[in-house]
Amino acid sequence: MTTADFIYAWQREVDPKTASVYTILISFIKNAKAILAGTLPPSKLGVRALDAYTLEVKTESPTPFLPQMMSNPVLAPVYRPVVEQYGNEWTKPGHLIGNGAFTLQYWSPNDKLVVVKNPLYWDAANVVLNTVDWIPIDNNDTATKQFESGQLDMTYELPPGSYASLKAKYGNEVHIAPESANFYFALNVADPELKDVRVREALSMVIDRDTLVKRILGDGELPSADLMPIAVDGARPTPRDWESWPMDKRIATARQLLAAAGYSVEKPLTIRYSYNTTDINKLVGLYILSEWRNKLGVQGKMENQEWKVFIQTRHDGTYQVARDGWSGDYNDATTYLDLVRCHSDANDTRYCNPKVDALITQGSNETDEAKRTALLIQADQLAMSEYPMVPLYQRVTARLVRSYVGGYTDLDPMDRVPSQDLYIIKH
Amino acid sequence: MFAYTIRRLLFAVPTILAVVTICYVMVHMTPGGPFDLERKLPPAVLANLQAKYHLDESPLQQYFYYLGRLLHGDLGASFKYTDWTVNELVAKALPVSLAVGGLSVPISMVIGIAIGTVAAVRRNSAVDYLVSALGNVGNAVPSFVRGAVVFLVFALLLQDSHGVGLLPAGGWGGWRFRVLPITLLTIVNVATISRVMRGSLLEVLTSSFIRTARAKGLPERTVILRHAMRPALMPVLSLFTSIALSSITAAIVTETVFSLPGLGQLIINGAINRDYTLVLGLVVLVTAIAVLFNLIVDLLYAVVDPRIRY
Amino acid sequence: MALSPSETQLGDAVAVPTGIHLDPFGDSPARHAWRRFAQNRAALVSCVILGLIILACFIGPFLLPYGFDDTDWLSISLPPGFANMHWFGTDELGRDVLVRTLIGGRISLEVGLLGTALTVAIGVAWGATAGYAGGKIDAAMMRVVDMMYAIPYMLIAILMMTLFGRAFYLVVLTISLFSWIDMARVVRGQTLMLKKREFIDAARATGVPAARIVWRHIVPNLLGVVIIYATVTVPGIILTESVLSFLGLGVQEPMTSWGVLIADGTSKMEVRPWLLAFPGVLLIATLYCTNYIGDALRDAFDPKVQ
Repeated sequence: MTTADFIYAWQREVDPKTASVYTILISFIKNAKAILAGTLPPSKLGVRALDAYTLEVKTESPTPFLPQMMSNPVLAPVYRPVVEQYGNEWTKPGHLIGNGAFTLQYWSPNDKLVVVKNPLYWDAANVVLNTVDWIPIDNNDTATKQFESGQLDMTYELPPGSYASLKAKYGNEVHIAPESANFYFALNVADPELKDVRVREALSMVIDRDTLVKRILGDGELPSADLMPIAVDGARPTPRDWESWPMDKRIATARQLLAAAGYSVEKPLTIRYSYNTTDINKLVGLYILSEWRNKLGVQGKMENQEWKVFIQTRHDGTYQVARDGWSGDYNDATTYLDLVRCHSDANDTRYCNPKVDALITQGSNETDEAKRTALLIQADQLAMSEYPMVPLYQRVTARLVRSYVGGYTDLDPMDRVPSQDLYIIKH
Repeated sequence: MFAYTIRRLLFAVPTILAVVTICYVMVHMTPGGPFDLERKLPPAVLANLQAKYHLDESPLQQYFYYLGRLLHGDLGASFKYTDWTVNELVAKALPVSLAVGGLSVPISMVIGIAIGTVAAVRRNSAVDYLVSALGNVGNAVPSFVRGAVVFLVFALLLQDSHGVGLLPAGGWGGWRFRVLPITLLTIVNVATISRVMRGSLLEVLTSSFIRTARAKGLPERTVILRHAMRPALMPVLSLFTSIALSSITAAIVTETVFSLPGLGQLIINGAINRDYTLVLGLVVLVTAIAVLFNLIVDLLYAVVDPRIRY
Repeated sequence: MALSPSETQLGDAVAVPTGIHLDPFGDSPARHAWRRFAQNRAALVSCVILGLIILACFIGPFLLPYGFDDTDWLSISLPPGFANMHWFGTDELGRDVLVRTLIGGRISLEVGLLGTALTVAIGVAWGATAGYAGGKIDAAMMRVVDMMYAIPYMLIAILMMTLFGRAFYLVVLTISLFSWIDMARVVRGQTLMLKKREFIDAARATGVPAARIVWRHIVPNLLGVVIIYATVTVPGIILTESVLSFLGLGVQEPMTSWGVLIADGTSKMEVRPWLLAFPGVLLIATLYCTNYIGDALRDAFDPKVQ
């Protein structure tokens, strides 16, 4: 394996003919965006081989998280002769050649994917597992049942609301870890009823996030009133001033804000909550609408939609309040600040403040780490003070892992669990 | 009869074409496309994707392009399962669905007809009520509940020394993975078949020609088996296509509960992901099966009732 | 001696009201049918139970202390008990399960009734016409049925919602859009058999128009099988509504239905079984009752039942 494999892989990724879907990471590399748009040829990608084993990568702006990004499979090297020989079939078992600890042995979609240890891996001596079976299961209950009946050693997620009972049953085999992911309600700031920032502030202020997280959800989520999760690199979440007030004060203040914006008992605020149908979205929606109704007299309506329809609703801005959430693509604050940047792909709230954008751009271009963090925090504070969203909580990775599976840690907020670090303890 | 069969089979082609056209229109009218993702795609990336999959051409052009490949047996590439062609996906899922659903159908037919006959013959007796009640379990108790109960018994309560359930809770592999799903499907189908059989046989048993047969002094068994069964089987036969199709192509609850890589999951995922080619490919498959089964049933009508002519 | 429709040799000329027969000894035909129905004890009990369920669902919620969307953070996930009048327990938001089950029953019963009625109407009309007409008309109509079998359900549901918005009648319409095809095939099969009977030949010979033959001679003789099959489709219709609700076409939270309650409750079955048990029991009871009533109705329409 040489630099040529990396260069080939990345150039292939930005080539418009390949039509890659997930281009966020590679877009950090110089000229990537222009190549994707077709204005430059793939050979102009900002990556150069200094020699057979050294790669020079130029980025559009200072990217401190670039090394971290390298472990993402999207940036993995690709072996050119395989792609040229097999075309679309190059990823099938027997054809696929990779540089990882395992090789693909069997793959049947919706059924099973089997990898076996790669003896040629540079660190093969430290890889213990011989085979890993990956089983795609749509339904969390089904997965839990397979775990309970001894078929699975590890699951991906817990069915919502099952934490308490599974914890009682399986104790330490239930693993919870904070994840770099948040859950919030996007507010359509262009909506006539939500245009006034006082309304938006009131809506965020009155919610009892502790009850939501402890009693309604109960899987170990962390309450959050900021768009940043706690563990993210490059910035810190900033608490709102009202977070330390007692709830009575918050309700009273919020009512005043609503009244100042022109709402009263005769003219109540009406809210339409759009979401795609899942247990969690339903529960959280009902809880929040109930809070708004009881504390602010808001008349709320739930509107569930099928997934693609919902996505279109959110992108098109035909919603008023929508369930939203974000998972960091990489461990840095800028991935979250994307949510409030003007016209960004991730911003469905229609919020746009050039000052915020300026701060983000300034921060991104800053090479001094402390200054960068300060600028990004500033950007976050400014955006949050205008309430384009109602942040609710930070998500957790919750799953079942058999006690005989060694090497599993709860430490990575990006939830990367390399199989080469796992091993089976004799049992 | 032979000419009729040939005519019906030839008719399959325009039928499939008609369904494909209707579904094509429907699928493109449904909001949301295969590349509508949680995060909006940058315009350049979206343009590239659309160019690759011909989605930037006019709907009519795309339609003819699809038809052209369809006539060559090429169902296209899946949008969501990007490494796989639709042909490959169907080829992998069909055997699973046939093994589970396909096997469940004849088993259910036999059991259902037997139960229904016994219930009708011993009408209003304890046997009738018991048999009917059991048959109705499949009808009245929702599938996902039954699946959960079945799982509780076989995979949880009955476990071997390593904590592995007697029968697997899900997934696909050898014969052991088929027992529970087939059982689940059979319970559902038996309920329907036995109820219809019972009602139908009761109707027949009280008709004039049966009274004539009895009056002639024929033994009851002959009356039932030789004279009553055939007309009584008609409604059950009529349902054969429906039961077979739903067991093979639409066993979505069974597939979800037991995590089976079958056709039901493909169809649902295809619809959810707006995976146009996958949906249309499956539609072609299901239409072909429906046409075939309906033809077989119609031919069986003529066997069961010789007066029926085509 | 009572004449049965299947024995009317003289066709329409005798003006026998079909489906019910003339008793020369003076009883009204309707009362005959009713008496036969009443002889079936299971059916009578079922009527009473079903009546109680319907009453409970429509009147009950007015008599209960809690509203169906009243949340209560202090009463989350309580098991059934007498303590605070949550007799069936509460769900994860502290809402009373009893009142939600009854409210949900309204939706499910309405959907079940209307959906079945529509399914029977369309299915019988389609199947009888196709079966009786035969030839090219039959072929065309049955090819349409073949096609309907293949069209994916979910897409139509999403499309309906997109084109027509959300409305209760849409749920019923969408469900019936697919359940009629099975009924049509069953009815057509029966019609093929029936039209070969001598009394149909006689009716045709005496110049009775086809539509009249179908309506007055064929359909009444189908009723038995149709009723039985209708009871088989009821549970499917009720549960399909929950699938549609999932897609956004059916009930919106906080409104609910048995199907939705059961679907939600199944995943929590092992820890909070009361969420599943109560709507489940009511649904099962309703379905059993409709089954027994259906059987008795079939008997009532059948002249030779002892």
